[in-house]
Amino acid sequence: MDVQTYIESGVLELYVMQALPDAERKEVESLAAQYPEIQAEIERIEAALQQYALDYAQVPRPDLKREIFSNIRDLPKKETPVVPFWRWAIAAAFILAIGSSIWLYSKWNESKQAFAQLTVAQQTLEQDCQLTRQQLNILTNPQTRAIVLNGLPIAPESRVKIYWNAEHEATFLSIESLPPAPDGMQYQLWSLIGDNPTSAGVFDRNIGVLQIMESVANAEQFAVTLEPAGGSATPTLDRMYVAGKV
Amino acid sequence: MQNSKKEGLSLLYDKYAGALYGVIFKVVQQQEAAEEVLQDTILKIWNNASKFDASKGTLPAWIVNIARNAAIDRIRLKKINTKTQELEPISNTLEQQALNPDVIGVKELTEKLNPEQKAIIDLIYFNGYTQSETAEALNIPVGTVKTRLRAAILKMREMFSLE
Repeated sequence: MDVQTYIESGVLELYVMQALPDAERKEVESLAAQYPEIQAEIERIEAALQQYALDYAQVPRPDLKREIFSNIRDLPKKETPVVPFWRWAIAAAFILAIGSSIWLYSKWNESKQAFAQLTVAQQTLEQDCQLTRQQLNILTNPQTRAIVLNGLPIAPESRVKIYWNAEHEATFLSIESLPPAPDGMQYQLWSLIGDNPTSAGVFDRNIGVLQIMESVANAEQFAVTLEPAGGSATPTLDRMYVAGKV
Repeated sequence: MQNSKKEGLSLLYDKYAGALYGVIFKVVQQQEAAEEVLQDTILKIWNNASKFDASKGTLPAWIVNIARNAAIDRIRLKKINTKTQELEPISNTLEQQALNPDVIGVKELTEKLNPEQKAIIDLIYFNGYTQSETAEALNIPVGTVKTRLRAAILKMREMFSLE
């Protein structure tokens, strides 16, 4: 078996994308169990596709969470598996003997389900924690600079802090004071080199939350403008709220 | 117990709703349908939590696949209901992508993958085509589907590892 040729055939990509017929899918699974290189390649393909999928991420309507969760409350509790009638007939004869087993079985199933759900929750937290740790590493990196953006005449009380690491091209933003954005408008961060602005993404007025902005490789100045929701291609200069030099 | 489950579900939602909704929207192309599929997906993840096997892949990979499958099932169902079982022509799919400016980050990627590479990934990943359906839609042999897909994903891997 030439593992390299197999890897290069493209069959693993189809496997990860769930586009293989059953027979071929099973073949991939048994080969992956035998050859660690195949398993490793599958994981790399998965990671790339996951990244690709994340590129399409968009925030759902804010009310949606509440709606979904209230629907969940209305749903009946998840039941234990349905037991066909004939089994009940037999069970009736032995009900005293096996009644307790059924009860135990359903309890066991419930616990198994609960355990699995907690595992998923724990994995979610772990992923979250890993990301936070990465961010913390960048924030506490001595190369990371804190830049204060002070309020301009239209909003002199405003103050925004930027944490920027040029090497990692990481940009974080924390609002100390900014007026609420009117409906249909959003704040947008810009990095400037000379007079050339580049957008570093739009953000909402979440005070006290460290927001992750788009990566910035090079900047002499940062500034924040108020733009129509979703952001603009170029900054609206007469709606510039804060600015600061690096 | 019930309460801690709710919290877990809420956590899952906060962390992944954006990623899941993005994928679902990309497949179904319509807000109302995407929201319904998102709800089904969240429930499905929760009720099938015992099927998650960390040795077979990461949690995000698993849940994104659940979302993608639920969304693809939805468009297949719609196709059957409207009795237009024919495969959508490829030009349509490409057009839809071009006409979807709400999607974040896509532009960047589109510039780096060539249209041929993007078409093959999207047909399989977002339209749920099998290898033979893809071959038919693009009018190329199945072998070419494999090699072209491999090249496209390698390109993608290269791009992501550069970051």
